[in-house]
Amino acid sequence: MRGILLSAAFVLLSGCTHDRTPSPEPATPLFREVASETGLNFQHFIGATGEFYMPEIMGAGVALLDYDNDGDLDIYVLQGTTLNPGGKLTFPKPAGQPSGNRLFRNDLIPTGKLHFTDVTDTAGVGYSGYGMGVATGDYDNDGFVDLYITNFGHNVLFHNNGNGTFTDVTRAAGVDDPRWSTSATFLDYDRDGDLDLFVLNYLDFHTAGNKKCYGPTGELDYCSPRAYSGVPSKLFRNDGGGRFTDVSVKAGITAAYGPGLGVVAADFNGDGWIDLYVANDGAPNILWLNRKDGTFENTALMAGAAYDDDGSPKAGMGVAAGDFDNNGSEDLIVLNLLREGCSVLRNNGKGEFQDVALRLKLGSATFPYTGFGVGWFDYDNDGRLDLFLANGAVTVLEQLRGKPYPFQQPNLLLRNGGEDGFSDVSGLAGPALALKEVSRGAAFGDIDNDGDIDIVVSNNNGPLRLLLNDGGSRQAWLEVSLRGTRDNRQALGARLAVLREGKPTLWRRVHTDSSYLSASDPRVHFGLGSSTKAVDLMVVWPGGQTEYWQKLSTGTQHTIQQGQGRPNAK
Amino acid sequence: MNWSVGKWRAVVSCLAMAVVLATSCTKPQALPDLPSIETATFTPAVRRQVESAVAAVRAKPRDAALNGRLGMTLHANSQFVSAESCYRRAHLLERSSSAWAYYLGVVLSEQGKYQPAVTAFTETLRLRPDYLPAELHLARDLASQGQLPESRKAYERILRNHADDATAYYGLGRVLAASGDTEDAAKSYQRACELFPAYGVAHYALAGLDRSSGKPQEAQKHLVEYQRHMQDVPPFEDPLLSEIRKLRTDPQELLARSIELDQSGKVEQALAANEEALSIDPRLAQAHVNLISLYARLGQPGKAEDHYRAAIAIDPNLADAHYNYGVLLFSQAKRSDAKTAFLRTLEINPNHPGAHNNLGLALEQEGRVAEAIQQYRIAIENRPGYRLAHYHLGRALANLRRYDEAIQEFKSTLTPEDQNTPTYTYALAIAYARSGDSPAANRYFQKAHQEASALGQSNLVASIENALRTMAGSRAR
Repeated sequence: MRGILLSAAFVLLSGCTHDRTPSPEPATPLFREVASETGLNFQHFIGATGEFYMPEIMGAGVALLDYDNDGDLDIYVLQGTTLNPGGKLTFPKPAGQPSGNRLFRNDLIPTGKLHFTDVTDTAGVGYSGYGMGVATGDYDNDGFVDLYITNFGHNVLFHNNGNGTFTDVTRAAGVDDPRWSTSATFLDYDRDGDLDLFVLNYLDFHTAGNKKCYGPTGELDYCSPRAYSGVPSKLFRNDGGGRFTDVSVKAGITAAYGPGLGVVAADFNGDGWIDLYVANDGAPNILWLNRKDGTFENTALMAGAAYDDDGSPKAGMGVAAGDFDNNGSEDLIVLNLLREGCSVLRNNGKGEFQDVALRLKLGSATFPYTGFGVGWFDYDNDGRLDLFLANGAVTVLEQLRGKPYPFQQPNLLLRNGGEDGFSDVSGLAGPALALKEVSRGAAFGDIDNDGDIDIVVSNNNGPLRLLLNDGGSRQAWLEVSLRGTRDNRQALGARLAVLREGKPTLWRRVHTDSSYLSASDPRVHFGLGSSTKAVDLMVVWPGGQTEYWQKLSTGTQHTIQQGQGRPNAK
Repeated sequence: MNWSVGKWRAVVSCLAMAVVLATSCTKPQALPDLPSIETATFTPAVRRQVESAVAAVRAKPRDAALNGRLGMTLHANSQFVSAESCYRRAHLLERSSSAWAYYLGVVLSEQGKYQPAVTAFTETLRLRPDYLPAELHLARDLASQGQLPESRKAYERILRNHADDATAYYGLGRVLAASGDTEDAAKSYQRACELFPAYGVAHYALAGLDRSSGKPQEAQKHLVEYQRHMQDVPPFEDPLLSEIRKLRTDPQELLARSIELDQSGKVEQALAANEEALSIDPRLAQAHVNLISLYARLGQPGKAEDHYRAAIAIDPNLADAHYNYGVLLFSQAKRSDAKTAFLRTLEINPNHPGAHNNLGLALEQEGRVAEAIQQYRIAIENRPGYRLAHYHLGRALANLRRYDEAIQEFKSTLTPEDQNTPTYTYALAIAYARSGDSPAANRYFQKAHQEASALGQSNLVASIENALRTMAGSRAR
């Protein structure tokens, strides 16, 4: 006993740090940061002038979309501006950085080389506002993905004309909201075959009413959301013909609201209808269950999805849904504030949740960080969904006080070890994951079409980062694009299952939402471990129809059209 | 940069004080450097406090108590990283003190450094085996870093000596639940609730287990208890942490506390918390904003006005200062001035629901009913479920004989059920009566009567009875 105590005392006295456990460097890092070398030169501008306006610290999102239908993922990035014109900029606008949002075309196809070209001006999507979030979806089912941009200020719907250009159709479509909007998602909540639009709003902050907030020792700092009031969300029903109707009150989604930052649409209770989960900042989260009659009901409290396992509301920011335990239902992760830890809500298949962050060792791994962008994704193609977390503080970090921008934190890569929980493998990921920046948005997709998932990260007051996955495709994989004919063209909301003999079925869904202010690759990716055998696939379309495809070869991308599969497995 | 004496004082760098202490009986240990603390941006009160503690350490760098005191000062101001270094030094200089080990554990835990925190709490308990707060911290941090079996043993050890400790039962329940032992977890939570029936989070945890074991009604009962007692936890004495709280000068915490006190109806205590916050940091405009409303409600309009002036002297664009002042003026029947204040509020925050609602009232009193209705609608759009705005909108519509619309608005006021509900139900009944729907009117009059009677609202009961008699008389005629 004495020996144990002495040993303990030694550890105590010899000090410690919170640096990650050193991991042996693999021969090749898992991820490589290649933004600059691939032409993705973008620096986010916050326009700060010392007023500590809240939008300056909330960042901006990024989207992965194939706007020109050439088979590779292009990138759309949101940009800020100054909210105090004439004020002395704390961080001058980077030289050579054009104003407004930017669209980068991926030239992988046809050149065979991953390189991006700024096509913003040609495409007509360089909106200059205080950009926040982006949602992608083909709302008019014309085969070309459209863009919805949220701002601190008026929002914008860009219709994709199909010829490399876009048109601002916000007014005609009736989908503006002049308040401070954040994340948004396209979903077919009424199963009528076209995509509706859900838009989150954050706070009733206005620059004229900016409040002075202070840190614990009295220095000026960014306010917490408690300084302002939450603003209700909007649900716009797609009426066809390019018109939407605001059905927020009728659908019941104004019955509960808070400072909304993250949203994900998925079928959480397994009834075949798309539901919504909203992460609120410092207020109870909301689970909008679809009542199949055009209305929603918030069941979060009863479903165990409003609070963490300690019954407390946390500062919900980014959110993602995915079947991390391969039991066929959509689980949730919500990223929170420094010293709160994330919430991981395991779904029992009936839309009832239990926070298992403690059990999965995710609470302690995320405790020191303020998390925003997040995605469940299988980085190593082993068939289990891992996690990437984009981090960065929102108030001055004690250890960085006195530095010019004291909010930097590293991002995290967490590997799903099944029953063993998650482990921090950031140390194996290479220099890309060692960067300490103020990350906000994160979008996920196979950017180089090599069969594994890459990540694009937007940094507040920092450069855009492209983390190229160099290790995942060593294992088997399958990627699927769906083409809806009766359902929405992109089949957003469809569920796909790879049926494996002797192993759990892998369930994934078609989505572009999740994360924070960002939109991801709608193609569905399956990691298949060491098995390269052809696989059978089941598709549950958003309207409820089920179809099967047999013996799909692995290691390749498939495009599947509604109505061309078999009605049953055999 | 002008390195004035003040600046030198502001940047407290104690690198020169890094000395090696080679007196350990087991192994020589180096004293960690004192942290470099940039105090230039601190409030004067915090700066004085920290600089005084630093000066004391500089005078006697190997005095454990002074190092520890600096740690406590930093700890009290949420400077956990700096406090950690100071506590380490204090502990190295005075190994026999359980306090330094304990405080070190607490600040490590605050940073999520659970492994070293566990070590620190273990050391605390070696020195002071009976210190329950350290035992609880140890058990909780073992769980936080995933050592569930060890955490379970730690909680069980606590409960052997403190069989009535509800906090330990709750913690044990969490560990058991995380380990998959839901049956024993439920028993543990249940015991916590028996020992402290208002234990909100224990009820929440029980609700989760009841729900997953197919007992939704039980779950619902616990959720009701949770919502009633969200903030309630068992009383807990931690004399060492109390010493830290005494040093706390963070006015933000006082502001947060004032809001909680106000929400729980403790207006005078809320007022005192705001005044105290201002005494620490006179720049706190929000405290003045709060005091406008608090003094107005306590019937001291002069003081309320003083705080309005003080608030806008700090920042003329404080929407809530103008709004609270507008409410004060409205209550004094200074309608024109109140309207000006609400308009000023809306210039700053065009979405302010309260300002829209009250502006609507002011407009209605000027006979500008259509504009008033518009204001009520904007108020509701920005705060769905805003009862008062629904009520005023319903009333304005009823006065225009637009009864169907009015009835919809009044229906929106019926929840939640509280002391105001009978009044709203009564308003709905009147709208039905005026619309000619006597059965519905009668139904809601009866409902309002029951609700008002149950709450002892005798004046309202009398009004309802009068209305019922009038309705009966009309029918008779």
